[in-house]
Amino acid sequence: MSGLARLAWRQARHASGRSTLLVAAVAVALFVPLASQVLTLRFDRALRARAASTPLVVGAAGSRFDLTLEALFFRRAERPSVSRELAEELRTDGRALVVPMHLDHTVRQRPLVGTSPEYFEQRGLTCAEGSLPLFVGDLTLGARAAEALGVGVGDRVFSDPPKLYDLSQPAAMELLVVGVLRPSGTPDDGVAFADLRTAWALDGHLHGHAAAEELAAGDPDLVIGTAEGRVALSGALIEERRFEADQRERFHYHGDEASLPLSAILLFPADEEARTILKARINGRRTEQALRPEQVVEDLLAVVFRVKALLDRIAVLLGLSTAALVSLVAALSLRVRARELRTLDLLGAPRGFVARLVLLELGLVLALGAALAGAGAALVGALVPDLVTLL
Amino acid sequence: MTVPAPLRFEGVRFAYPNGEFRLRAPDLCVERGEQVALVGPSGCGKSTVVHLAAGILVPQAGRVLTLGEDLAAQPDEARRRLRLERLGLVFQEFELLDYLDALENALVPRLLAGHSPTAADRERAHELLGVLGLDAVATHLPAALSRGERQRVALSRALLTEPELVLADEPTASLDPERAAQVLELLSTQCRARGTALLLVTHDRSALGHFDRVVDLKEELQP
Repeated sequence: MSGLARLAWRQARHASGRSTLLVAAVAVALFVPLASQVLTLRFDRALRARAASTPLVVGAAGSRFDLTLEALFFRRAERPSVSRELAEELRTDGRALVVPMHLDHTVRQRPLVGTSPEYFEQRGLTCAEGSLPLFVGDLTLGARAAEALGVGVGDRVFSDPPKLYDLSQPAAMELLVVGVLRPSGTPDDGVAFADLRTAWALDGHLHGHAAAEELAAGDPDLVIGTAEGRVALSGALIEERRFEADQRERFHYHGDEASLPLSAILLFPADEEARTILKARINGRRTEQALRPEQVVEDLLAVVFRVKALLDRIAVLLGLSTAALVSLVAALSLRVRARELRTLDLLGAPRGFVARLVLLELGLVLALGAALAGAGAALVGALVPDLVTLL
Repeated sequence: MTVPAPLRFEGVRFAYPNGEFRLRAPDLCVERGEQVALVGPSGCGKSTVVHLAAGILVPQAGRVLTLGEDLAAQPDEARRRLRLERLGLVFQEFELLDYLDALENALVPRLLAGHSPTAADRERAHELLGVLGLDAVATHLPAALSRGERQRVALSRALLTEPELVLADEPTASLDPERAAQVLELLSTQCRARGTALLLVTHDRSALGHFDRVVDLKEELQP
């Protein structure tokens, strides 16, 4: 360490109160714009990248922000559903690849995404181990979700009951982890995927039990009556809560499967023309809407950047007040140290030595403040992995 | 080849820029190893003589030859270098840096030269502190030292570079008589041991016995 640096460091350490105050002021002044920049950049990139990879989102009429954020980022929203019939209609139309999504459930507080195998193909998701959720009751976890839940292939996890103390709601069901996805750096990493039938089973739409004849043979009281090929079962019947391999076939739906609910439908049209036609056709209805996520995200980012602009103004004010504080403290410090600095001159310090010493001390404070601010911003970036979930 | 006297004043005239003080310094010569006391009443220009000798001030007329160098002919940077590397300066109020401990204060000339003190520098500083009885307080900050100890630290700083000339401006003025006598004794002994010339400003006439020669500025300047 040179003599100059040694003197600067000793002085900064000796005046530790003053140095700490200045370092803290500089750190705060730099942290605010740095952190907001880190977060908005991440937010911007995450939103845009996801939106760009999803040509059209279809869902029930309502908030376009809610629909987009739910379908792309699995942010839960109380929204009406659309029917499976719509998905089938779009599939029959043939202009786009149709990916239905059911997003109403969670597994240990993580979103459970009921979807079809096409979803994984479109998102480029592949398994690091195990397989995709091909059967009812199968669960394939995103890499981050598997790590957070501490489970792997072969483990069983319970779904979260929709309403814990509402006995009319379906109870939790035990799901089998059949695969873990490779990390993709997208929201898919943080969720669990299941087959659509699993999601409907969690809704209570699908249920599983033995055939009526089998039940009657075991406990005749469970069958209340039969008429014209229909069987009335007792409410005492306990339905399957597990999806064992030999019981999967027992899960069924008594109503019209076309009416089963979907939270959203992703459409991957063959070309721009198909996209335009589909969007126009769906938006012509009153009960559904089709959105281009890129447009919605642009509008959302405009709001975010208005907030950032406000933060930037606050940061400028903070920066100016910090600069004033640093200048004031430096000026007062120079006044207090006038005699010491004069001594250095008298002893023969080279011309400009004193100025360099003071500048180095200030530089030290600024560097430490900037380092702290940078570390803080990096920490914020690391600790806030998915800002979209905060929306 | 004759070795020049460490300090020589020849027809020196000096006035501060505001013109409030004018000095016609006596022709003065301090020989190698000689110890000279400069006395005189307050305000007669004793400190100005020291500042001229150190090249802190530059005369308007005449010559100040410090270690053979005509300081008025030297650029500021050269005068600073001479002060830092070849002169020892001691001030009335010690002028220690309060954020450095005693050892580091002794090493200040090395730090001001931009160097990191070498092991040899540290050894020398330790040796000086030891000779001046400051071994036990080498790691103490000035605030933790007595006034006598602080002035002895200032002496070790002045002697670190083994200067050819020590200029001391009333180094005992703020000390009690006992400590003042100690410091003068130490300064005189150390300079004599190293053959270092000493010009010391004092108004304490009881201390003049330490010196080879006494220059009374008032008498010298009388017409």
